[in-house]
Amino acid sequence: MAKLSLERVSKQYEGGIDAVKDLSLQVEDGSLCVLTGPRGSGKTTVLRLAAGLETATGGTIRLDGIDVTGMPARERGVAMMMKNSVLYPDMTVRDNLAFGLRLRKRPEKETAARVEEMAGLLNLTPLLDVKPDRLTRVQKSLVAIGRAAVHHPVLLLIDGPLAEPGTQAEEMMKRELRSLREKLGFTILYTTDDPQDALSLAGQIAVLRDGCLQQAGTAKELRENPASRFVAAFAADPALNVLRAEAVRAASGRIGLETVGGTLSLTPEKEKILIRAGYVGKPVLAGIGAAALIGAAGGADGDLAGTVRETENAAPDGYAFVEIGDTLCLAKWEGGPAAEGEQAALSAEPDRIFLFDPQTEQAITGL
Amino acid sequence: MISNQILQTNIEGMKSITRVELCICDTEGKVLASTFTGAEEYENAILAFVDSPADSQVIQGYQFFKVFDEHQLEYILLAKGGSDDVYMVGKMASFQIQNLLVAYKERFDKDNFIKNLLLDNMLLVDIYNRAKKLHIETNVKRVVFIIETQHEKDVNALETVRGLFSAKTKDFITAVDEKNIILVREVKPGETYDDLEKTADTIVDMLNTEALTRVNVAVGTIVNEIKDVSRSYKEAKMALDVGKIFYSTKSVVAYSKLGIGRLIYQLPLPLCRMFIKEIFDGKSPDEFDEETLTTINKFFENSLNVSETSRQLYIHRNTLVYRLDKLQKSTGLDLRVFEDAITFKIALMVVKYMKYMENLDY
Repeated sequence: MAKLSLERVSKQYEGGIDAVKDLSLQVEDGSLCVLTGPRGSGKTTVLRLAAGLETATGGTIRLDGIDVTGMPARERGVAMMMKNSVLYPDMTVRDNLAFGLRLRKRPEKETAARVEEMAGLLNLTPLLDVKPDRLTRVQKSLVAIGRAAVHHPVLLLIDGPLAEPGTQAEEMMKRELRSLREKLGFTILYTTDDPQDALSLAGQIAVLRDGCLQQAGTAKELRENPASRFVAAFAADPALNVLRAEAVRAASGRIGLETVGGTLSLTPEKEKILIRAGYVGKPVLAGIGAAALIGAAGGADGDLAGTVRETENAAPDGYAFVEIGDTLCLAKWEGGPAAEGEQAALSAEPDRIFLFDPQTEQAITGL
Repeated sequence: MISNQILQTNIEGMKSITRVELCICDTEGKVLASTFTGAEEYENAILAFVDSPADSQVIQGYQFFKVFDEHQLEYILLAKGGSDDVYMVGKMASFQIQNLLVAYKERFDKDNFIKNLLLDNMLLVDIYNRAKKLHIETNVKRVVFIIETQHEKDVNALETVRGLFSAKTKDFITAVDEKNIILVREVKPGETYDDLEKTADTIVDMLNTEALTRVNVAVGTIVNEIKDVSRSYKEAKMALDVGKIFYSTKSVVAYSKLGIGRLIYQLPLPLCRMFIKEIFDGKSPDEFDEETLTTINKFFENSLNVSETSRQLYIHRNTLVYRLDKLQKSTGLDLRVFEDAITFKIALMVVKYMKYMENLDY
C-alpha cells in the first residue's frame, strides 16, 4: 500500500489562483520521493497539503490508505522541515531535539531516549550540550532534520534544498538523509527546484509545472523517456537543444529529421513511432541533450553543420556553443580547440533524440 | 505565581550542591515541592510555625524557615538536619526563593505593562515612569509582530514563539486576546524591513513545523520610542486585516507593504457603495459566475495578455475573447483597455473590502 496517495488533488486559492491542479501521485512506503519543478510550480503547496497545513479544494489525500483530506495537521502523524526553519537560539542541541516532544507532552524518559537515538543516528551525540551559535551550517541542518525525525513520523516532509546545491555540504546532507531513511524506514517527501539535486537524490521523482504533474518516474526514466519537452529540458545535464525539424522519408525509405543544419537519422523504433503517430511529412521538434550532440571542427562528416559561437563564454568544460540555423546549441566538443566563426560538424546519437509535437510539446509516443 | 515545577527544579539544584534535603510548603502546610518523601507528616508542625512569631525553628529534626513576599508570608521551607551548616543552607535557600518571587513579579509586571502599553491604557507620564521602574529602555527601536493562530489559546504556538525569542529579555511576548500572540521585538542596528519579514517567515515556518499549525503574521512599522509601540501594534493589526481581505494567500503581511489595499481599507462604506453602484449600476460582481471571475483574475495576473491567459486557462483564444466581450456587454468595461481594467480591478477590491466589513461580527 502506498504511504501517501494523492488522488486528483487540487488547491485553488481565493481569486481563482490554481496552486495545484488535478494532481495524482503515489509515494510508496519507505521510499524517498522528490517533488521538483521551477519556483511557483506548486511543490511547497503539495507538501503543505500532505501535512494538513492547507485544505485541498478537490480530490482525496490518503495516508496508509486512510482518508485524511479534512484531518487537522496535528492528527496526521507527519513531521515537516520548512525552508526557514531555525534552531531555538538559547537551547542546547539536546533541548532543540526534545522541544517538540515536550510540547506534545511525551514522558521525559521517552523524550530523552529518542533524543539520544536521533543524536546517535545523525552523529550529533558529542554536540548535544552545545548551543546553536557554535554549530556549523551542516550541523544546524542536521539538528533541524533530527527535530522533525525525532517524532518518528509516518511521513517526513522536507522543503529543500537542504544546502547550497553542488556543495560538499549538500552531498553530506543527502548522505545523512538516505542513511536516516534506511535506518528508520521513513517515507520521505522532499522538494527542490534544482533538477540535479532531484535526479541525484531519489528513487522516485515527480516533476511539477504550474501546479500540474508533468511526469513521475525514476531519474533514468525521466532522462531516457521524458514525457514532454519541459521534462526533457529539466532532466538534461547540462542542457537540452531543441531543433525545429520535419520528418521526411528518404529515397532509401528510411525516415529522418530534416533540420536547417542537415538531416538527423533515427533508430528504427523512432521511425516506427513517427509512422504510427502520423508525423511523416509533418513538423516535429527534435530534442537532443548537449551530451548526445557531439561536435568537432570541420564541416563535412557530421549530420548537422553549424558555426562555433561564444567559445570563451559560459559553456561548461568540454562543451561549445554552436549555431545551427538560428538556434544556439550546446554541444560536447571533441577534437582540438574551437575558434569563434569556425565551421562545426555535429552528429547526434540516434537513440538519444527525443521527438516532441511542436504545438503541445508533449513527447510523440505513437500510442 | 511561581510554578511548583520551578520550585522543584530550584530545590533539587540546591540539594545537588549542598546534599541537604529541602521541602517547600504553602502556609496551609500543603507540600509544593520536595526532595524527600513523607513531607506531608509535618503539616501540623508547619501550621504551628506559621502562627509563631519566630523566623526559623528546629522541629522534629528539620529546620523551618519563613519565606516572605513583601512582608507577606508566602512559603515555609524545611531543611533536614539540625546543624549550623543546614541552618545556613536553609537561610540561603529561603533567600533564593524570595528573590525568585521578586523576579517573577517583575516579569509579570512587565507583561502587564506591555499589555497596557499596546492597548493605550496608560498616561504618557506613567509610561516613562513605569518603564524606568521595570528597567525597560524607552528610546530603542522596536517593532510589533502579531501572530494569529488558527486555534484559540494555542499553547504549542506560544511555547514555540517563546522558544525562539524568550531568552532575549529585551523582546516581549504577550497576548491580549485568545487567538493572537504579540511579539514586541527590539530592532537590531542595521536591521531592515526585509530582515523583519524574514523573521516573520521564520516564525511562520517554525509554527508550521513545530506546532503544526497555520498562522498569519503581521508586522507593524519600526518605532523609535516606547510610547509609539502601540502605534506599531495598531499598524500590525491593520496589516492583518488588510492581508485577510486582499492578500489571502500570503501568510506574512507587513504594514509597510500594503499597497493599494491600504487605501481601500480606509474608505468609508457609503463611498464604496456609491462607487460600486456607479461602476456596476447596482449589479453586484458576486453575480458573476466562478468561471468569469477566474477568467478575470487570470487575465489580470497575466498583465492583460490574451494569448498567455488563454494558454493558462486551457481555452482557445477566441473563447477568452468571447468571454471578455460578454463581460463588456454586461458591465460596459472592456478589460483589454488599460483604464477599464484598472477600474474593474479596483472595483473588485472594493467589493472584497465591503464584503469583509459587512460580515464582521460586532
